[in-house]
Amino acid sequence: MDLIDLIESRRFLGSEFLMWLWFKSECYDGLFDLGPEKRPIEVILDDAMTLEAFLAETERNTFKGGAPAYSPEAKVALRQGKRLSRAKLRVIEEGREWVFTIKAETLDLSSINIPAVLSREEDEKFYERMFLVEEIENIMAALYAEFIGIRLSPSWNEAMLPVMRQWIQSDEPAKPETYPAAAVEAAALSISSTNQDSSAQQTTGETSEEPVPA
Amino acid sequence: MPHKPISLYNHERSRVLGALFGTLSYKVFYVQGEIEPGWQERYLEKVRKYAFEALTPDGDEEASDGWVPIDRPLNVEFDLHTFLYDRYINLGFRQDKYAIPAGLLKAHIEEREREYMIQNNKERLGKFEREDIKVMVKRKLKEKQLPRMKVTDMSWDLQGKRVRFWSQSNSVCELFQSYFEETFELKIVPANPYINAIQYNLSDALSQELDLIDPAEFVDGLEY
Repeated sequence: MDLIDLIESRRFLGSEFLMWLWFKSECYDGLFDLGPEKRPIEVILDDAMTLEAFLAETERNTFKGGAPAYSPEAKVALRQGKRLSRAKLRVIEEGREWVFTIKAETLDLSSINIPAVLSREEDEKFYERMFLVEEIENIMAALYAEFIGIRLSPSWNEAMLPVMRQWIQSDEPAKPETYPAAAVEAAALSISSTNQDSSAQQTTGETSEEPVPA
Repeated sequence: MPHKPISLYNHERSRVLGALFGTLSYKVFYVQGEIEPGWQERYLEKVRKYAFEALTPDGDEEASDGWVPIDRPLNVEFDLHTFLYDRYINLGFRQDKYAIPAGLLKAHIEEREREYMIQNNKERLGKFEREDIKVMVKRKLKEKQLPRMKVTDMSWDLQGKRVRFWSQSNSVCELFQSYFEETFELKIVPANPYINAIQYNLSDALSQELDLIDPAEFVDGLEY
């Protein structure tokens, strides 16, 4: 398969990532320990989500207002085989909050509401905005790395998928003990999003002959 | 020592800027390959080459695209510090287009054709006459209106090897991608579930698994 085919044929990973995020968020009331360093963050599915029939995008349920992730209607849509295609997320780390919409097909973030920009100097505001945007991108990259680690390991089929199937069929909210943490922990940590940071530093080194003006 | 841009925040600007302020909705592209030595001068030259060129009523073009400084979309004078902000290259991607309403254009053409036939005592018009009238009418209408302007911000993080482009429209992103690749001589790939996964430098085994996995069946008995 060429790259275009791989990109198109693997788009389902986006909706599976959001489904996993929904499930894990419900299990732990939104409290996550992020990455190998176990950074405490909160990930909450906010007040808007869209579920679409897989391979038949015309069948769509859009929920707005309240807490649709906990609504019986959303569970019914899941039981009909629909998957999360778009969700509004609220991510909180150290008292700072980002609210944004994520689209499963592309993993694009939109309408990002970043924590308040504190810089007073006008030019500094740009750098602070970029810093805050990079922070949320890095958080989402770490969550996606955790998901990919599980998804590509045998523990996905052996442990994660069976409990997610039960969760979809159940009317009870998921609890911490529902999440197969022990079974998937090694896989979850097998991939680190810090690989991206190392490639960034490599670039820094290579451009150091002609440094970016400070 | 590079001078600082005059002001990133012109409060009188008539457009919503993404990178500098306003809505944060953008598309991420990953930059492939490495920046070659001597990039500053080369990039300046190429940005000037692909700078925006204004449309004129007399011109044949009805649309024009190109780079503008991110904080001054009406200015196309570039030096390195117009677009280099510390470790970021910031540019605006300006797209102008004459948008003459089809109904209005048709009505004006028909009117002009009638006048022409009366003036020249003709009952019918030839193909070339009709084309000439159309061009002339379009030009007159273009003189009466300004092109529609759209500027989309781009911010390239040179160290992070990421480009953020403040549009998620497929057609605009594809056009932007071709401009970026021509200007900076580097390939970029848009973020998506597969590309994001391979950013993690997966082992050979995991890469193979990624290429082979099938969609999960979350509900038993449903046909996927």
